[in-house]
Amino acid sequence: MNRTMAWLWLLLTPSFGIAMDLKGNWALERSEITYTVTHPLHIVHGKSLKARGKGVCYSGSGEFHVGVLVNSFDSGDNNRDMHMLQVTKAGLYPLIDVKAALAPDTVNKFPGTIEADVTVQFAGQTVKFSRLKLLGREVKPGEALISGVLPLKLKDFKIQAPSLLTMPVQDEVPVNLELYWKRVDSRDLKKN
Amino acid sequence: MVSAKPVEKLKSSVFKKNPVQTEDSRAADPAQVNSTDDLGFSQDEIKSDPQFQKELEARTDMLRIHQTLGLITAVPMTTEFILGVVTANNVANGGSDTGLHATLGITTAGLYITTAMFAILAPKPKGTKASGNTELHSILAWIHAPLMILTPLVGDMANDRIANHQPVGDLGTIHGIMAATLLTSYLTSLAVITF
Repeated sequence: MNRTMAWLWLLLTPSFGIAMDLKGNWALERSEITYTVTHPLHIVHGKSLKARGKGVCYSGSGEFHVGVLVNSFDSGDNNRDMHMLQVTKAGLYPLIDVKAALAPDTVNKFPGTIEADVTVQFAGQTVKFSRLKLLGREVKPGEALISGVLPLKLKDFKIQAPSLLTMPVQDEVPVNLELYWKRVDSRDLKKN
Repeated sequence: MVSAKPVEKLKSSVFKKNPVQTEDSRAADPAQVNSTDDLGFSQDEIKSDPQFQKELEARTDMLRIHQTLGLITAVPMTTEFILGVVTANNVANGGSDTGLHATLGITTAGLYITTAMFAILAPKPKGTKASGNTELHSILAWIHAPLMILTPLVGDMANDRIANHQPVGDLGTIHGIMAATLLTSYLTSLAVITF
């Protein structure tokens, strides 16, 4: 009986015992943000490794802010990238600004699936995603990976879909996020 | 795909300047967290540049015309190649009528030059550099553009000989090889461009 209890204790401990404490300040250490455009003739991925961001977590909630320049995305074809800059009005709105507010008590579910209200400012429009599911895990002590997909739609941002041979790309442009955050103290956050 | 829905209520003023009080004394001021200025981008990087946008718009407009004219030009160019093969056979059998082939050749060259001008004269905003399939498209232009000049010239020389009842010699063969290379490189440059 005692042995059974010991095994049960060992098995159940991780589920309520080792949640990562997110409280404190965070800075974006590195990132990979990839959009996927689907055209009837081909699929294109554009990637940026140059996002910058900061975050702060309290007990039970948190706020994160990520910025990425539109012209930092590389699809492997400069002509296509220039066309992307044109349709997204990057000359007028060069920055994609993403703010995420972690849902209450989500912080306590880390690592695991967390939910956030995400606001995206892009191409002169602001779109909000409610209770977006993201996956969070600890990479190493003091470093956390937040990953997920932003389900962007061109129409939401009033972006005219580029076309080839009169066939436009699909309205859905999922954006895959891989954000590596590093714990910092508030002075580092100010300096960063 | 999950549709974007407006957040009905962003409770606890997560993006407001007066945040909820934190229990953590290490936490930074959320106004600072939410400040774009504080992300580390330079003002040059994030400032609005209407002139740049204007250049992008003009570039897209001109390249759209370039794309349309390029597709249109492929039709007379392909037809011209087929007509050239037929004309070569007629000449080989003693014929001397090359008028239709010559006329369509001039038309094709005119369309080609017009198409090229829309690409050459399109604005080149900062950051423009050929890469990927666009680079291949540009490299192929260095093959078909000279051929678009040389092929009609060689054809004209062969035409003069035919009109003067002189032997054409190898000019017809050279003209044919140049035309085949021109058409192949041109159609390839069309195929490699995506959007």
